[in-house]
Amino acid sequence: MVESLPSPEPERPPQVEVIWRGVLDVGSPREVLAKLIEGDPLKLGPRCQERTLSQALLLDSRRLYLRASAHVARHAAKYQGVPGLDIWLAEHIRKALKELVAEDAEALRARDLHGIPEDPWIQGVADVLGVEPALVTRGCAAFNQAAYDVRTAFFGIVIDGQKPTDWAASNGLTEERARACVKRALWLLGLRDELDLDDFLEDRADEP
Amino acid sequence: MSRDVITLQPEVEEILREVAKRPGSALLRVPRKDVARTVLERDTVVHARSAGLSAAERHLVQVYREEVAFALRQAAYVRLTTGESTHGFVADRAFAPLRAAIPSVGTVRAFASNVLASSRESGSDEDVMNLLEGCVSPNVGEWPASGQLAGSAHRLVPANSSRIYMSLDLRGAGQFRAALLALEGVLAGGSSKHHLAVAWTNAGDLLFNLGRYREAWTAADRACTLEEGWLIAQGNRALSALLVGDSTLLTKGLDQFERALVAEPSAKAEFSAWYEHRDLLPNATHRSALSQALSTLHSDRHSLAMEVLRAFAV
Repeated sequence: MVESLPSPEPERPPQVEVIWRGVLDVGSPREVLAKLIEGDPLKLGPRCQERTLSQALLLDSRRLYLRASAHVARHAAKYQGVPGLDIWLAEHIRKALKELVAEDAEALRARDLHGIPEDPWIQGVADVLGVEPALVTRGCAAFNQAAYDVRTAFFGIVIDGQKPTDWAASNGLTEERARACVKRALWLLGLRDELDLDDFLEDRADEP
Repeated sequence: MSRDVITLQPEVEEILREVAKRPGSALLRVPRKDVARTVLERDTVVHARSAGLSAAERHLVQVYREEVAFALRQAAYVRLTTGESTHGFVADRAFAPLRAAIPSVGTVRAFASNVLASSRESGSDEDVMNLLEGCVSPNVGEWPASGQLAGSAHRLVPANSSRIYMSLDLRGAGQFRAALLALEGVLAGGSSKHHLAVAWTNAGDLLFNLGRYREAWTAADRACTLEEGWLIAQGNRALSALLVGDSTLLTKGLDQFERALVAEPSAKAEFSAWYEHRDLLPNATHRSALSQALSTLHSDRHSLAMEVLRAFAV
């Protein structure tokens, strides 16, 4: 007697693939976008938030989430699982972030940044510092142009409440430099419209 | 349980008050509010979902615009480096400080085709699409002019690269003053260090060609400060110093240019290969002034720098 074997079952796609295929493989960019916005199945929201915080940027989280979703939707049809989903999404978030910071820089240059930020987090930061609501958007755009040291010092010392000495030690800077960074960050955040931003910006080689 | 409110450290409070006192600061101008730390726990998803799909679609349109603008800027770059009126003075980005990837004709064409394929989604106007279509041709000479490409890109998405490309296109047409004006937006504020270095370098070249040697020196010196060791800026500064006639400036400029050339032999070789067959100084008056200044200069210490400067006077 000869025993026979049934045909092997097709290998099941890993769970993560099932999820992204169900979102990214659904049709046109607009259809993918609708899927992304409804329930955030790829967890773009937390990923955007993490990126904004790690880059120490004062950026409206909703704008970044929407722009990153738009990028993902636009390129969804080409995605076939390589690189890994996390890397692929991170790259789109990075692009979205870069675009928004550049857009704000252009609007700042054209003195075309008005309105009150909708993000309660940014509004909270402005409330702590007593900044006029009408100047917050401009202040954040100016702040986001600053060097990474300046931005992280502000997040570490002002927002997280670390002591300048401790923050400086853990970031390999002198305490004096840490204080200077905080001073610069505060100055940029509260900068009035009629002053020239360039006089207060330096060392901006870093990109978000 | 008491609320966990954001409280500034006393020393931060002190810095805040100090900065707020400065004229021009808008800090502490409105009553401060207690902010609960829970505010920091953002609920991005709920917040974003409340924006609705139409807001998200506006971002999708913007993504398409960015892509079209990027394709046009890349095409403008290729056009500038190959165009008859510009390739003689436009230095390839290989010499640029960031050594960013240089787009090839093939990649630009492929990208333009790709963007065109999704043009229905982009909502871009027909004129822009026609421009892009022009960049699909394998013959770069048939592509639209660099100024047209950069100008259209700039109207879609204002950017410093397009300002610089528009300026270079005008420089190619001999419109030095207009080219300087086009750079104003880059020099005025909010630009990255790299764009500032490029803009000051180009401004120096334009001022030199307008015979404003002292200002040309200042512009080139700013570029050198921003990007130490950048050969193009170093060379431009030494050239301007020669025609300013200030021996202190000249010695300083030559010393640093020589050091930069010695420090990077491969860059020096690249630079030499680049300038060898180019008409870098088309204006006969400037060329003759340079030639005269060089004839009175004998410097054994600056052999490499002198070799480069002499090439400009030929």
